[in-house]
Amino acid sequence: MNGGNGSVPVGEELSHGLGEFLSEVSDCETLEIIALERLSGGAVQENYALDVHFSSGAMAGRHELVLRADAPSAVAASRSRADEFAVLKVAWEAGLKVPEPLWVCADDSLIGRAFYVMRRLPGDASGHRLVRDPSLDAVRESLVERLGEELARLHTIEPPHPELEGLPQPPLSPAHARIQEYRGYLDKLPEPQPALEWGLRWLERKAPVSDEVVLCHCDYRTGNYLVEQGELSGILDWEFASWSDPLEDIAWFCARCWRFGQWHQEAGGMGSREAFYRGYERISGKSITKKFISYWEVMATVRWAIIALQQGHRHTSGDENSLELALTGRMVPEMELDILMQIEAVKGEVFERAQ
Amino acid sequence: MRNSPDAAGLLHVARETLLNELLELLPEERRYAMRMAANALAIAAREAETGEADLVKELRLLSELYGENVVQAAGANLHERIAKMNKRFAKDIRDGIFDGACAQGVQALIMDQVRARLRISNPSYLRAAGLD
Repeated sequence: MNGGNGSVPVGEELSHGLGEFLSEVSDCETLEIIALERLSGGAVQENYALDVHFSSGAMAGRHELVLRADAPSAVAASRSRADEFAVLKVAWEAGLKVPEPLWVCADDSLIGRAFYVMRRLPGDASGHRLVRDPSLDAVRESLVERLGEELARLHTIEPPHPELEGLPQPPLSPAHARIQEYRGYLDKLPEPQPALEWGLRWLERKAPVSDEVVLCHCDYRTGNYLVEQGELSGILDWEFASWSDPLEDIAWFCARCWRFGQWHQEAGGMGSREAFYRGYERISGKSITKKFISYWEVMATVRWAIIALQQGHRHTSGDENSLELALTGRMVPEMELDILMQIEAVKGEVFERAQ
Repeated sequence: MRNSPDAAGLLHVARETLLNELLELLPEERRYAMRMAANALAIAAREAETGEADLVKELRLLSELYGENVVQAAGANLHERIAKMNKRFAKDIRDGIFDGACAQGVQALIMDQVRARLRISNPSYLRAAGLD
């Protein structure tokens, strides 16, 4: 996995407990941790590039791995490492393009926090680079089509699922569940947000009945997948996976906020919406109802606005002094304008399946 | 009376110094932080230039919705009134008070608030949307 700019070495104490764990799970008495370096990115989780040489056992030889652990100041709202590992395992077994999950350690006494280990995949995940890389121009359409196919494969996984009992129960109405969740986040912030309340009230009044509730990634977007030599090499960051309406994932991928400035490329700043839908519809065998996508894109923009508010609050509350976080807080009216314009654009639209 | 240049004037010249004299001295990987700093100064300069004009207008619009007396009673000064009235406004929206006939007017008020904030934080975003 590409670490972006620079990596941070970690201390002895981490690699000591880790060595014992790896030795046990791989049934290999002697192994050498060749490298363990923090990869950049990930405010809630920390990823480490982990190179290990196993002297014997099923894993004999040298392996390039990733260790994913909670950041020391982990915040709520995302899955535990054990639940995320379970989701990744289910996705891997369903044949999705994801890093192979290897071992999970829910015991936080070994390295001080829960973690799991997966294989390291090659490729670049940087949204800013991917949407502008001229060497990808010839393959953009096939890439987003592939991303549509992968998402449709994920969405074939339905509740109940014996390996995913750690996930919150499937909601009766995914839309109403999200609205309640987002209002809860707003209530934890110090300032009132009339524009976001307006968006949420609109979402509440227009909430469609979901045709189905399936396993969703819930952060499926450019920046969370790897591209290696023009091909999709892996889908990452499963920390928000939940049972939800599949349209939520499709809309999140296409929402303006994840186009990294390439507004005309409606599928994640990477390619056309048509190609993304084509891949999705071919695998799912169902056609995507455009107006419900419009609904879930308003939801996506509200979600991103709340994330930006929370990031700004991390700075203003004094938790983490950061220019980037401070400026993110100041981006909120951009999303608010998008919400108002998105609502205006679908004014008069009849959501005939509305509750 | 204060000395010149004023806050906005100082922020403008500080920003120009960062961008025109210092940016080129930085290695490529540190320039992003410098550009962010320059952006922060630009936002602060626009906020200083605006003074309280945007807040005065916002309170006037809230007075049209809730009545002058209600807004006056909400606090001792502009900032207290803005804070208190927005809290009530947000709650009323959530409670569905504005679902009915006045929805268009309320949406226009919210649009006005958002535009005022964008004029300070990112006027080019507003221009790109054709709403300047």
